[in-house]
Amino acid sequence: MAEDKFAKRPFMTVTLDKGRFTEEGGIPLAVLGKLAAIEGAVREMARHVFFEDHPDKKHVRDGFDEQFRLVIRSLTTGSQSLAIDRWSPIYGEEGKRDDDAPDGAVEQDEYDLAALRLVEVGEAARQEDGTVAGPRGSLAKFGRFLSLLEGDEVVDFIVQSQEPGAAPAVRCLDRRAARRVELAAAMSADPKEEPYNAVGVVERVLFDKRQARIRKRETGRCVLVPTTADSEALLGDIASDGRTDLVRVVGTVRRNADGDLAGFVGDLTFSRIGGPSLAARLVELEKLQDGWLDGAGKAPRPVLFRRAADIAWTIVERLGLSRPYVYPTPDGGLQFEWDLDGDRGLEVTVRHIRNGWEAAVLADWLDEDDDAELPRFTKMPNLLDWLTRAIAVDEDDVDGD
Amino acid sequence: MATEPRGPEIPATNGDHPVVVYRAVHPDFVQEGRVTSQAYRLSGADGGLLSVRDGRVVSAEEACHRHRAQGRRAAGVAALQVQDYHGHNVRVFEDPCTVAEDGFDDDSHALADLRALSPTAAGRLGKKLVRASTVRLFEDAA
Repeated sequence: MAEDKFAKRPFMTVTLDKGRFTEEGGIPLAVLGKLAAIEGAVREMARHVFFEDHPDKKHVRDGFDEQFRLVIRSLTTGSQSLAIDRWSPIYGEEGKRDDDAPDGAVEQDEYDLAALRLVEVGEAARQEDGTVAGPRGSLAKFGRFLSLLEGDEVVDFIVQSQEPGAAPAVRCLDRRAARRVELAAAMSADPKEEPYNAVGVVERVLFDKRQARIRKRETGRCVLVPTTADSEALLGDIASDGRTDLVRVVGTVRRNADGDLAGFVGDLTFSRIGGPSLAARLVELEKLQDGWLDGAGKAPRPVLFRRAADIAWTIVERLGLSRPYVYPTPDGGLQFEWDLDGDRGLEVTVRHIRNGWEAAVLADWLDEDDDAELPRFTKMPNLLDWLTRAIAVDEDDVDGD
Repeated sequence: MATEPRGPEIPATNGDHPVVVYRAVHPDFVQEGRVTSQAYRLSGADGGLLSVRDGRVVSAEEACHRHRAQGRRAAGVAALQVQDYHGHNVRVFEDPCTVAEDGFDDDSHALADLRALSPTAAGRLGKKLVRASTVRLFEDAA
C-alpha cells in the first residue's frame, strides 16, 4: 500500500430539534455518547464488509482501523446542526488502488460502504422490510445512535463517491425505524425460531428479569420478559401502581442458543397497561405547530416539553399519583390533569417563562373563592410542598410561592 | 363573533324535556376519550361568550358536523343541559349565524354568557362544566 496522506472531509451532519444542542447552551454528554456509537457502528460494519469481500482472510489489512476516525467539526448555533468530519486517507483522483485486484481496479472504501449499508438497514427497517444485514454489534450501536433522533430530525451521511469527479453521495435517514433496528440486531444472532408470547416493558422502566423486579427507571428502553403466570402477575402489580408506562407486546419471538429472547418475528400487537402514556402523549403533542387551534393556539416551545415532563414525573413519583392526562393550552403551555380519588380534579398548567417555568395549580376540591388567583410556582420544592398539603387535606389554606 | 347574543334565552326545558347544548371539542383537547377543561375555556376573542349549539335544533352529531363544515376541527361534542349552566348562574342564548354577518348559516349557534365572571372564575367553571359533560366523539369522514 502506498503511503497515505490524511485529511478531513465531511462525513455526516446531524440535525436535532427540541433544543438539545442549543437551548441549554451545550451538548449533553449523553448525546455525545450516542454520537460516538455511530463510529463504532461504522467500524464494525466496515469489518463486516471487508470480510464479505475477502472471505479467505481472517484479519483485516494493516492500517484498516486507522482509515476511519470521526471528529466533530462544528456546531452551528441556532441551526441545531452538528457537522462531523471523517479523518481519512487522501486517495487521489483515480481513487485508491487495490493491489490485489486485477487491472488496477479501484478499491472500495469499506467505511463509506459501511455507512451506506447502515442507511440501507435503517431504510429497510423503516419500510418494515424486515431484512437487515450486518453484524449484531454494529446494528445495536446503530440503533443506539438512532435513538438520538426523533420525529422529523434527520441525519445526512455524506459518503465519498466511488466515481472519480462525481459528487459525494448524501443519504438521509430519520428515527422512525430505531426500535425495529434494535430488535433486528437482536435477531441477527442466528436464533432458533419458536412461537413464544412475550411482554415488553418500555418507556420508563428497566425490568430485571432475573430478580423479577424493577431495576431502573429509564426512558426509551425495551426489555422483554416471557409471559408466565409470575411475570403477568408482576406486570399487573406494576401497572396498578399507576406510575409506570407499560406496554404489552405479543408476538412470536426467537430465542437464541442460550435460551434468551432474541427478538420478534412477524406481526406484533401492542397494548398499553394501566393509565395514559405520558411519554407517548408528549411525543404526540410535540408535533403541534403554531395555529393548531383552528388558526389560533401557540405551539409549546421544545424546551417546555422536557421541563414539563420532568415536573409531571416528579409529581407522579414523589406524590404517588397516577400518570396524568396532558393537553396543550392555547397560550403555548402544557396542562397536566389528574382524576384523583373522591372525585377530585387536579390541574397543573406549566408555561415557559424567561428564566424557567411557571406552574399554575387548580385543585377543584379546595374551597376557594372562584375569583381567587390560582397558586403559581416557579420552584419544584414549593410546588411539591403545596400539592402534598393540598392532596392530604381536603380543605386547607395553602398559598403559592 | 357577536358581542351580544342575537336571540332569546334558551329555556332549561322544552316541554318535559331538558334542553341540551353542545360544545364542540377540538381533537387536541381529547386524550383517550377524556376531554380537558380547556374545551370550555374562553379565548380573548370570545368576549366572555362561549359558543355552543342548541340541542333543540341539531343532534350531537350534526353539531359536530356543522363545526367541521365551518372549517374548524372537532373530535366531537361535550353535551350539557342548560340547567347545568343555570346551576352556575350562567344563561344560554340563541345566537343564529348568518352568511351576511358571519360568512355562514348556522341556526343552531348559541352563546353561554360568562361575561359576569372574572377570567379566573371562568377558568374554574370550565373545570366544573367539563366534569358534568357527556362527551360524544365522531369519526371525521374527511
